[in-house]
Amino acid sequence: MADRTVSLIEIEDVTFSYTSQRHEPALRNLDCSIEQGSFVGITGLAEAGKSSLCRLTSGYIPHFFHGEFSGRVSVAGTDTRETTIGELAERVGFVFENPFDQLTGASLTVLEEAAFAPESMGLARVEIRPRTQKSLAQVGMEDLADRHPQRLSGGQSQRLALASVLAVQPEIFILDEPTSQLDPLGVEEVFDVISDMHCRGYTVILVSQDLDHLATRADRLIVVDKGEIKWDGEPRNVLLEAAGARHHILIPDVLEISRSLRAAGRIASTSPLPLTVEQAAEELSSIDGRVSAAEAIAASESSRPLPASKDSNNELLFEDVHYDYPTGESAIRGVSLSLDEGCVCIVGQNGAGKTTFAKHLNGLLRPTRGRVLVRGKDTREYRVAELAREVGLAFQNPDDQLFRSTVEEEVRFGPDNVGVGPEESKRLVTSAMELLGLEAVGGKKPHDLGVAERKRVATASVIAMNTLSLSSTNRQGDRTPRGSSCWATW
Amino acid sequence: MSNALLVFFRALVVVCAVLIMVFSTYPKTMMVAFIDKGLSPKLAYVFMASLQFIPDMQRRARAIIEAQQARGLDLEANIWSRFQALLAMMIPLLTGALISVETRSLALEARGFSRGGVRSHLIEVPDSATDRVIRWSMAAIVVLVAVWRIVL
Repeated sequence: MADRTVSLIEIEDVTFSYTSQRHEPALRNLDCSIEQGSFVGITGLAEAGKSSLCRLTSGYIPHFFHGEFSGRVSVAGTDTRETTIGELAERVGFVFENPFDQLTGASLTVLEEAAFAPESMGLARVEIRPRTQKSLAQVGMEDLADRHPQRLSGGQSQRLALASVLAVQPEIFILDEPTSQLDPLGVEEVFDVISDMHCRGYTVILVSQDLDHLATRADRLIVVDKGEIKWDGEPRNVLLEAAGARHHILIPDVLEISRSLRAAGRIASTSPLPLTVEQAAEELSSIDGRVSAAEAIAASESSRPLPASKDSNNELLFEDVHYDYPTGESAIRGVSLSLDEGCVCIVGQNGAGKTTFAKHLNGLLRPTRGRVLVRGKDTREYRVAELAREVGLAFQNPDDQLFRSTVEEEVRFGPDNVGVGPEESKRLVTSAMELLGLEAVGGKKPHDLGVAERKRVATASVIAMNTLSLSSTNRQGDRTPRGSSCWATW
Repeated sequence: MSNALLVFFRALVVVCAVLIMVFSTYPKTMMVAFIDKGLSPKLAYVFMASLQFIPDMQRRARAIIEAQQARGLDLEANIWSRFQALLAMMIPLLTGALISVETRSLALEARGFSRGGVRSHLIEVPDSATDRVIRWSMAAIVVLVAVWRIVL
């Protein structure tokens, strides 16, 4: 052992099970070491043990999350069991998934929020301001120093969380899915800041499902599966192996395309795989032949013809709809459209008016000018509960709605409200649960399930209402049902 | 009538005093001053957090009502369904609050909140001679007025 250099983080043979799930270890015989200055990406399916791995490194396991713990974790030579979260925090910074919950909730300006940690550490007053301003500058928020923290966008809020941690000046940064609740712009902002920190010499551990962003930036990728490390190594190789094994992580398109080109023999299998669009474009431009590369790719995907347009019956009709918030801010300006059967996606940045639009579909919001017709019903003349029979609206945060004691009862809440008979209700509940793969957990408490499953429960409860149309404000990763027409907003 | 006026003016004095304080005092400055005088930083945190707790809960409650209405919950029907509506709102509100408390307490922990030892502050609250004179004379006036009420 003497010839081995000790890494910054050493995890040796760790098995851990949470008190609430004693029979099912979250981590099994995990061995891992992380070198100083590296950028380690961690990915895997929901409930695979990614968060547990992060909590292990920051000492939250076993100090905050209790359970059965065996093995050893050391950070810079210190056993995490022999120290406290507070002491570890000076070395290990942690950024959480929810951009709003991790702010202290006790600051009135962005500057105060970022100064919270230096204040707690008892730094001299003359040092606090420059240090805080420097960390705000590192995340590009120096201009927002006087803004109220509750008036920030998701991306800004997440960058503020990063700045508050930066102000502690830790060596290691752990980020647990910091971009999963952000819009595309916010994702770019946060990833850029993280890459920048890695360049400055910080050790970064980043959990994400977004491999398009992660694989190009990290210098090591770990895939966690059922509490164990499944693959670990250079991102390219790990992704290749995962793609080869048909593992369910989202392999970047660029990589899939290059892989099929190699498999088809159009590119030498020895040439290095591209990870970015630029690299791929360069590689593709080198292909010559009668069939262009673009055609080769297109041929591998079955072409989907657009559905033939049927008779328009204008199930949902927007007529010159304007909506102004009570504050006077206008969110929708003169939208006129009609929607029929089929699947329509609405995309746009945060604050573009997508959610406002969706809320008009079932009367949660009513137009300040113009009108919305749902199957000929003017939304201004009906109650939300009545319109809910026609339009199902699934919201993003499952914890805003789950309140029954079993999953099955939860799913039945929708149909019961709509007033279908018990037989029909039973049938709808069963089929909605089947559709979302919830048969096995029907008798469990919704809150004992993981976030991904809770989201599916919430969606199932809306699907079970068997409405004419379904609108979901959920983000990626949710399955939408066939049969009913749906509008998804991202 | 005169009694009513008396009660009115007494209430007015209290309301004005509170209003003057609310409009003239930046809460964080007041808390820093209190901590300097020996108030526990944890209590100060509770005070500061409670200022934002209500708007935060209101926002959550609005989101919950919307989500439940979208699932067909009728807020305008008979008493029984209104009672059910209350449950459908309160349970997610409380569980949601508990979930965010977990994240928040870890985030506070990670920022060294329960570290103990010396603390410092971004804002400096100087206690000038004028401040002290005004403070002590206020106390003196209160005592004088109390004595005046009791004796005379």
